[in-house]
Amino acid sequence: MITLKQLTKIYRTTEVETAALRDINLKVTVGEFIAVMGPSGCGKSTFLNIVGMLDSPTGGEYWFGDQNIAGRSETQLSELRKNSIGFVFQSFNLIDELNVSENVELALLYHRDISRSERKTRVHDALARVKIGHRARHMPQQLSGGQQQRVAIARAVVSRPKLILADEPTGNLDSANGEEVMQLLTEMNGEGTTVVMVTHSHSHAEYAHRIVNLLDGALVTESIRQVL
Amino acid sequence: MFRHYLTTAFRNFAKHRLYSFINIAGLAVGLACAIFIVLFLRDELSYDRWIPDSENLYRVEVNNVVPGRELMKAAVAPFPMPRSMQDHIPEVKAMTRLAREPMDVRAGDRQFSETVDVVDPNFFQVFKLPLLRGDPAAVLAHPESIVLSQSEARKYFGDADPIGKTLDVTEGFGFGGTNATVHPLTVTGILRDLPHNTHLLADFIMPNSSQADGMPQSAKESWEAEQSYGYVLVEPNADPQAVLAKFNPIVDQNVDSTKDGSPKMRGSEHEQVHLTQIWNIHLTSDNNIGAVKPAGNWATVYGFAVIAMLILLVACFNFTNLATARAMLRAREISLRKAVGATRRQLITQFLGEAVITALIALVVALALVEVLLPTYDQFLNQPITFDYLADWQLFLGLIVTAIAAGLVSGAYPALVLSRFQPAAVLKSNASGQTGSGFARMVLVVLQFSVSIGLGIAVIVVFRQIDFARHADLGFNRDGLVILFVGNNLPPAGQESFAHALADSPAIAGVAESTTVPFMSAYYDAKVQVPGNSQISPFRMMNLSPEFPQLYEMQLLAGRYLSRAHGEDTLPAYLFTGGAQKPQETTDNRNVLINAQGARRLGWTANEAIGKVVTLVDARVVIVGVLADPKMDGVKTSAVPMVYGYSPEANYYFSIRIHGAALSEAMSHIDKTWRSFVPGSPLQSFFLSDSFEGQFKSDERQGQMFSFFVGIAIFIACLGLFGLAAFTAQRRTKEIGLRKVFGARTRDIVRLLLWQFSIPVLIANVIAWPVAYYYLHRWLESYAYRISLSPLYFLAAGVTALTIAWLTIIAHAVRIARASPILSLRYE
Repeated sequence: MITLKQLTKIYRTTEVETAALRDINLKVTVGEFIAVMGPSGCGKSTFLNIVGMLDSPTGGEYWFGDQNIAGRSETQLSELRKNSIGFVFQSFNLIDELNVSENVELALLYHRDISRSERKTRVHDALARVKIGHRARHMPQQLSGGQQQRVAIARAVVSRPKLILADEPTGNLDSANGEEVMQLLTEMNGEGTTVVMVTHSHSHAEYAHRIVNLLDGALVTESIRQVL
Repeated sequence: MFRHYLTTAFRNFAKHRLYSFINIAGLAVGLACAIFIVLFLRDELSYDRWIPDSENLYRVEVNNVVPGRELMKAAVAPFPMPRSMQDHIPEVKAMTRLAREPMDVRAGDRQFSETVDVVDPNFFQVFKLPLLRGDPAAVLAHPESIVLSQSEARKYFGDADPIGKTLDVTEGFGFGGTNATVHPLTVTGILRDLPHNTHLLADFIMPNSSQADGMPQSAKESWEAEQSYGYVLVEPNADPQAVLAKFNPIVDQNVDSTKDGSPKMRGSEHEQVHLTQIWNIHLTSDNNIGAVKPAGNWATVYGFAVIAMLILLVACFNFTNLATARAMLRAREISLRKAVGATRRQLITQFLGEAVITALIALVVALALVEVLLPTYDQFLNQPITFDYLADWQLFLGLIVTAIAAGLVSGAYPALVLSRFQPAAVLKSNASGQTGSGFARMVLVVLQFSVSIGLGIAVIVVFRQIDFARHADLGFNRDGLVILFVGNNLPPAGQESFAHALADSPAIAGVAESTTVPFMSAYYDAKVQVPGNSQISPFRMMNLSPEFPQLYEMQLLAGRYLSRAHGEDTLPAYLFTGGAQKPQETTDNRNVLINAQGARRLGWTANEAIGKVVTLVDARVVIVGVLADPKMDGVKTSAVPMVYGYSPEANYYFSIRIHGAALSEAMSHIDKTWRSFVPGSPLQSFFLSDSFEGQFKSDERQGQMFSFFVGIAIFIACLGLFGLAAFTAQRRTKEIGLRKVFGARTRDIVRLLLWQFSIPVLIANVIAWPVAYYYLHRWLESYAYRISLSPLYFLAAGVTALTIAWLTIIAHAVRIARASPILSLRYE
C-alpha cells in the first residue's frame, strides 16, 4: 500500500539545515499493522506527517498504492487524504465548538457524494463501534481523555479509510484507556484497515505485525512480531 | 455543509463573546454611520427628481463677465431670454418664467407679508406640480387668479373651501417704483404642499398677466437685467450645449454690454448663458446669486460619501485585524479540517462566510440604531429624512449588498491567513501556526489612525475657520442692530419723520436708512470713470443715509461722512434705481463716499481721493470721504470697489441700534411707532446678528455632522485597538512573566506595551498630516478671509489620537504588568 524509496526530509533555516528523515526505504502492505518507534526527536512524527500527506518530502519517492505522491497539488492531496486516510492524534484534537457527533461527522462533511442521512447513519455506527454513542450530544470538554480518544478514533474510521495513522494514540491516556484504544485499533486492523502507529510504548508496539525503529532520521531496524 | 458552517460560526461567536461584540459593534456602528450618510446624500440628490417629466427641464442661468471683476454667477436670467429660446431654437418645446415678488396678502382680517411667485400662465403645464384643485392648463388662464398651497389656504381661509374666494394683494417692493394699489385675485387652484426636496418655494402662484405683477415693462424687455427665473423644456434627445450654441448669436444681437457700464464685448461673452437641468439645481446653481433656497453643493456630497467609505473601511480593518490576530486560536480546528480532507478553497469559503454572517448581524444592529436615532438626526439636519424598508427597497437591498461586501473585504485577509495553516506544524504539538503578518496588522492600525487623525485635523480647522469668520473684524459693528424692512409701505416723504420718531426713545441709540443691509448681497452696479481717463471701472453702489456709516461704526480713513446739512450730499434716485432723470434733478457735483478698495481701483490713496471728481453713471460726483473696506458680505467674499451715496427716495431698510439693556423697551417702541405710521401692514424686522449667524448655520451644521462622524471613526479604531491590545497582552503573558523574573518593574512593562501601540499611531501622523494639509489648504482658499494652517492643529490631533490610544490600552497593560510571573510561567 505504501512504498517509500530513499525518502528524505530536510528542514532549512538561514543558518541551519536539519535532516529529519534520511533515505527511508519502507514498504507497508495492505492490512499490515506497523509500529514506528524511536527516541524523541528521531523523526517519527515527521515520518507520519509525510505518510499522511500533511507534509511533503524533500527527496525520494512516496508511492501510495500505485500513485506517486510527489508533485501533487494540495487539492489532490486533500482528495487522497479524504478518501483514504484516517488520523488519530496524541492530543485528540477534537474541536471544542462541536459536540461529539459533529466532531465525528466532520470527517464526512467534505465528501460531496455522501448524503446527510447517510452521514448521520455512519456517525451513529462509528460512535456505537467505539461505545461512546450515549455521549453523542456532549461537548469534548465534558469527556475524559479516554472518551475523547475514542471519539477521535470514531472520527478516523467513519469515512472507512484504507489507512489509519496514529501518532502516539495512547500517549495522554492511562494504561486502562490505553489498552482499550489498542484493542480498537487492532479490531480495525483485523477488518482489513492498514494501521501505522507511532509509539513510545513497547507493550503497545507488541500489537503490531512489524516494529520499525528510527534513529536520527534513519530507519535502523525492523522486527517482525506477527505474521500477517 | 452550510448548516455546519453556520453552527460553527455561531458557536464561535458565543465562545468568544468579547471579541464577537467588538467585531459586531465596530461593524454595526460603521454601517449605521454609512446608512445615515447615505440617507443624507440620497436626500441631497433627490431634489426635484420627483417632478413628473422633468428630466428634460432646464433652468436658464446667466454668468456675468466683467473684466477686472469677479465672475458673477446668477440663478436668474433676463426676462425675454427663455421666450426667445423657444421662438428661435426648434429643440426648445416650451418655456416658463417665475419671478418672486414680495407682497402684502390679505383675506378678511388676516394679513401677512408674503413672497408670491409670479409666473407665465403655462407654469403648471411645464412644471407638473401636484395640483389638488384646478386644471393645470387653465388654472392661471385668467389674469387675476391665484393658486395657493394647502397650508396657505388653511392659513387664510381655515376649513372653508378657498376656490372662488378673493385674496387682496398689495405689491411690497416695487422694483424701484412705488405701487400701493390693492389687487383682488380669485383663488382658482390649490397646490399640495411641496416636499422639502425641491428648489421651488411655491406658496402663492399668480400669472404675470395680472395687474398685480410689479415687474415694470422695462424690466420685462431688458436683456441686461436678470430679474426672473426662466425654464425651458427641450426635446428628449437634445444636447443642451448644442441648444446654447444656436442661441448665442441671438444673445449677441440683443445684449449690449455697455448698458451696465461694462466695456464693449460680445453679448454672449458678457452674459454667458447656461442650462442647468433642474435635478442639479440644488447642488450647483442654487449657490448663485438669486437662488431661492440655501443650497447643497457637490463638494459636501463627495466629502460625506468619502467619509462614509472611510468609516466603513476603518470598521472593516478592525475585523480584519482582530480575526488575523486571533487566528492561532483556530489553528487546531483548521489543521484538523485539512487533515480530514478540506481544501483551502473550502476553508476560505467557511471563513468568508463567517465574516459575512458577522456583517449581516452587524447590519441588523445598525438598522436598529438607525431606527432609534433617525428622529434626532432629522431634527439636527432640519430636513425630514425617512427610511421605509418597503418603499426604499432598492436602498435596503443596496445596504445588504454593502454589508456583504464589508464582510468579504473584512474577511478576505483572515480567510487567506487561516487557510494557509500547515496541519503538520500544529496537530502534533497543539502549537500555534503562523498568525499572518504582524506587519499587515500594523499597517491596518496605521491606516485606521491615519484616517482618524486626518479627519480630526479637518474638524479642528473647519471649526477654527468658522470661529475666525464669526469673530473676524468686518469693519462695522453688527451687534445690537434691529433691521426693519419698510419696502414701499412708507413713501419717501414720510421716512424722515419715521426715522425721527424711531430715534425718539432712550432705548434707541440711532437710526439710519439704506437700500440694503449687510449680508443681503443686494447692490446696484455702477460704472465709474476718472475724467480724462478712458478706463471705466465697475463699482458696486449702495444707497445709505448720512447716519449709516457712523451707526455701523465704519471707520473713516480720510475726508468726512455725508451730512444732511450739506444739500450736495444727496444723489438723484435714478442713479440707483435706473429709470429716467427727473427734470428738476441736478446731477453734477454731488458728493459721495467710496471705500479703500475703490480708491485703489482708481489709482489713489485714501487721502489722494478726497476732493476728486469722477463720473458715476452719467453724473459728475465728488469724493468727500473714504471708508475702510467694510466686509458687507462676511468673510467669504473679498471687498470690492464701492461707492456710497444718499437718495431719500430709494430706501427700503431702516437700521436701528438699540441700547443693549433696553431690548424689550426698544422693540415695543419700534412696534408702536410702526403701527402709528403704517397701521395696515405687519412689521417685518430681524436682528442683523441673526442674519450674520445664518451665514454659518449650514457650515456649522455640516461641521457638527463631520465631527460626529470623526468621533465615530476614532471610536471604531479604538474599539479595534482595545481588542488587539487585550489579545496581544494575553499572548505576551509568558514573555512578560520572564521579563519580570529578570527584574522588569511594572512601569517598565506598561511602557513596553504602550510603546508597541504608539508606533503605529506615530506613523499614522506622518501619513495623515501632509494629506490633511493638502486638502484643507484647498478648502480654505474658498474663503476670501481665512486662517492659516497652524502646525498646532496637526499637533493637537496627533497628541489627542495618541492619548486616546493610550487610554484605550492602558487597562490591559497595567493588568498584565501586575500579574504574577509564576502563574504565567507555570501554565505555559
